[in-house]
Amino acid sequence: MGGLNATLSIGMQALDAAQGAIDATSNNIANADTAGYTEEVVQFSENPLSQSENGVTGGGVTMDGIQSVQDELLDVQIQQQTSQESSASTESASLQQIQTYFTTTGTDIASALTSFSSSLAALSANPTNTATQQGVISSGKELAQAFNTTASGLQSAQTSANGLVTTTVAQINTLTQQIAQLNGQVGQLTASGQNDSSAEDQLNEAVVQLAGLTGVAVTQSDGEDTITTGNGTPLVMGDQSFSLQTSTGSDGFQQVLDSNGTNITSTIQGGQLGGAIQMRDQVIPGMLSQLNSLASQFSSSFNAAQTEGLDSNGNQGQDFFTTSTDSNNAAADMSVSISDPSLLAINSVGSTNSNSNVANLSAALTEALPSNSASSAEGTTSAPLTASTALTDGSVTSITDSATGQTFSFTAGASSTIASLQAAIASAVAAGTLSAGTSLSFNTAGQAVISTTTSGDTLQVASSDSVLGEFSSTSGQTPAKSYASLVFDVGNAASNASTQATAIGTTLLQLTDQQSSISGVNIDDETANLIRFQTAYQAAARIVSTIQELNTVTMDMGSSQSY
Amino acid sequence: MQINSNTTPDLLADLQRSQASLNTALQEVATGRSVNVPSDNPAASAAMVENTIETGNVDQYTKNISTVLTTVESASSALGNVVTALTQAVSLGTEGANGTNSTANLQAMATQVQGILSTVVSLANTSVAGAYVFGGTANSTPYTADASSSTGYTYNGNSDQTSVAVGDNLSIQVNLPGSQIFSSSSNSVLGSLSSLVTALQNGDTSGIETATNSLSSAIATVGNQQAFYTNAETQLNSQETFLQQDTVSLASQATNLVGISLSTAATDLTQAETQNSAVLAATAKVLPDTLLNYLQAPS
Repeated sequence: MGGLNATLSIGMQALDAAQGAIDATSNNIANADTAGYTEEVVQFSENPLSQSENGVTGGGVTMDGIQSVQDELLDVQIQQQTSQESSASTESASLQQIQTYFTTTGTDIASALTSFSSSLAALSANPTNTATQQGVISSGKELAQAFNTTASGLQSAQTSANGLVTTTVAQINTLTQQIAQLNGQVGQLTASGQNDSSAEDQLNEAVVQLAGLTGVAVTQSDGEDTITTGNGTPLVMGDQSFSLQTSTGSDGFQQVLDSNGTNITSTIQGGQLGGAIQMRDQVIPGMLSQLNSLASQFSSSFNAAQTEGLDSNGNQGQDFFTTSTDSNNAAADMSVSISDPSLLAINSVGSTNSNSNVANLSAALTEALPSNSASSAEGTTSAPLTASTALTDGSVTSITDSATGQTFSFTAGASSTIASLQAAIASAVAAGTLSAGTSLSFNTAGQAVISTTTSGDTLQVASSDSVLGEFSSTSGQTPAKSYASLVFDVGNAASNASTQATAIGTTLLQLTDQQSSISGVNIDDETANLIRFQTAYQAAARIVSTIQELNTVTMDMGSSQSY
Repeated sequence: MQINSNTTPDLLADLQRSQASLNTALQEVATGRSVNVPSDNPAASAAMVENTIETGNVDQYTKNISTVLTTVESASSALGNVVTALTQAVSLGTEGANGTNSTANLQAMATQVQGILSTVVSLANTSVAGAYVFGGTANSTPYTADASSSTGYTYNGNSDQTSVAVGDNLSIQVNLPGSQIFSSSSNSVLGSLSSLVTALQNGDTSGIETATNSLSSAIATVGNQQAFYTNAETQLNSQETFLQQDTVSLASQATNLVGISLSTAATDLTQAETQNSAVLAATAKVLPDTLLNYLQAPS
């Protein structure tokens, strides 16, 4: 070959190549800010040389295609960090909302405890004055309201986390459908040997979005992605998506079910969904239970001090606080049950120091609350004691009452069980051998729980050769300390979550920077490329026009009218 | 690999960070507190709960002390006056018992002692801010005249004793019932005075002597009761001093926990401001900077 036509075809190829490169560059510039877009780079290759009578000449250029620049490992890291960041942010946002209830505002529990405590001190200086008595009742109401407000604040945070679970599951389902569709497209194109970078970009972006909603694991085979939750529940396989469902659980909260209806709530980690579930099922219930036990322990300890004394009418003191019998609502349902100031039990029974019961009332605030739960789970063996657990014949169970110093012993007979011990304790209480309030009961986990009114009581249940369980009810904390530790827990959780969110956010930013430097569009580069390809195009066009001129000259060679 | 030219996310993150520290610095200066929500410093927030409650209590204890101190002081001074009056009555009784007095003299003495009796009764009815000092916790006038009573007066108060909380687990008893001071069955001040009046009126020398003797021992009893009040006064005063120190140490603990040092906070604020404007200036410089700015527009 050779000749002008060959050169013309080289020029045409060069024009095509430059045109393609300008296309790709324009597309890069157009998508510089599109999320998930990866930079496209044009691949050129040199055509085979051609042999002519003039020797070897070049064969021109071919544009092979356009390639996206991606780093898959980086993509996976970004997915993981996105999950964690989104989970920490969800928790942090919820905790920020919660901790306002624990900030000293004047209506929080610390402020209410302060005014209740002060009102009791004022009562001691002026015990028979109706105004100071009324002061105790109104600051008691304030305290009950502070407990109510804090509990409802925690509960509303829990409810909003629950709402987030429902909406997030719906978002996940929409996204998995999109992903399945894109996945199918990419899979088909890969199978037919084609490459569609735009579908892949969209797919990657959708997976990152999904990772923000819940933790995911992505495996690739034959160009198709298989996406599962962190725990292996399938979400997308090929072009098929598996919807998650929600249903109301026994606690009234939405449980997450996989497509087969299996409850996977507790296995979900990471992402907005993981964060919401963590808050709803772990963090907030922990705080609520601390708050509830403070409310119920403080109420019963103050009520006990009331009952110890006589009111202004000479009657035995009545309960001051009422709490719900449902221990999960102790703080939410706390209220003051007396409104008549004369019902405050300021007088001691049968003592000439008759107003000294005020000191007992104050002591409810300054002394350690009775810690009255020691379950068999806390014993030296992990085996829970249930009602039907048999006691070995001849084994001796003893309870030492630290208040009275008395010891209660129970010698097991041939068919004795924990249930018979329970009955024996009840009759010992009735007979006055053990302080009122001592009891053996079973919690929801089926464990034996010894309850005492005095801290430091011990219960030992021994079989003939081994100790089944040894319980020591630990000394409790004062209401102030107990509330302070709750404040610490809330503050610490909020501070940890926000620190974590910030730290992961920084890592994520670095990863995105790295990704940008690999797959992102650099406007300066593209501008320079544009100029380069523009020049290339102009040069190729010049080749074509030169050949055209030469052809004209060649054609005119035979004509007579020229020159 | 190329250099990442998309610096916008980094710049935005920097801007947010410096804005956040500026906000924190501003808030610290504005509120005077370095801990505004528990997450700012969980441990300090927890310690502040106890500090707040303790501060509230110490305030109330201090108020309690100033309330009862007035009562205790007036009780103490009332008893001082009672001792003076009784001493006078004893000297009248001693004079009346020497057998040299005319009936008219004895009658005059009886009138004087009667006057002393009224004084003592009115001292026994001392009240502070509407509350009777020697009436237990009852709100009625402790002693009223009662012809049917041997002493001529009835005690209307009760025997309640008030213990006032002046510290954590510290209560101080601040009153004695009048029945224990003025009309105890063994050593009744009012009873002895009444008998002295009757004996003087009747010119009963041995009666005068008996009444005078029992009055002398009543002085000792009242003196003891006065010592109780003096003692309470001392205790209250020293507890007040302690509470004042406690208030100071609680306040300084609160400052250490959640307060700020104004100079540090002001320096922090200036630093945050400088940093923020530096970040803003850098962003303004970097953002519009692309190759396009330097290319000539095609002619």
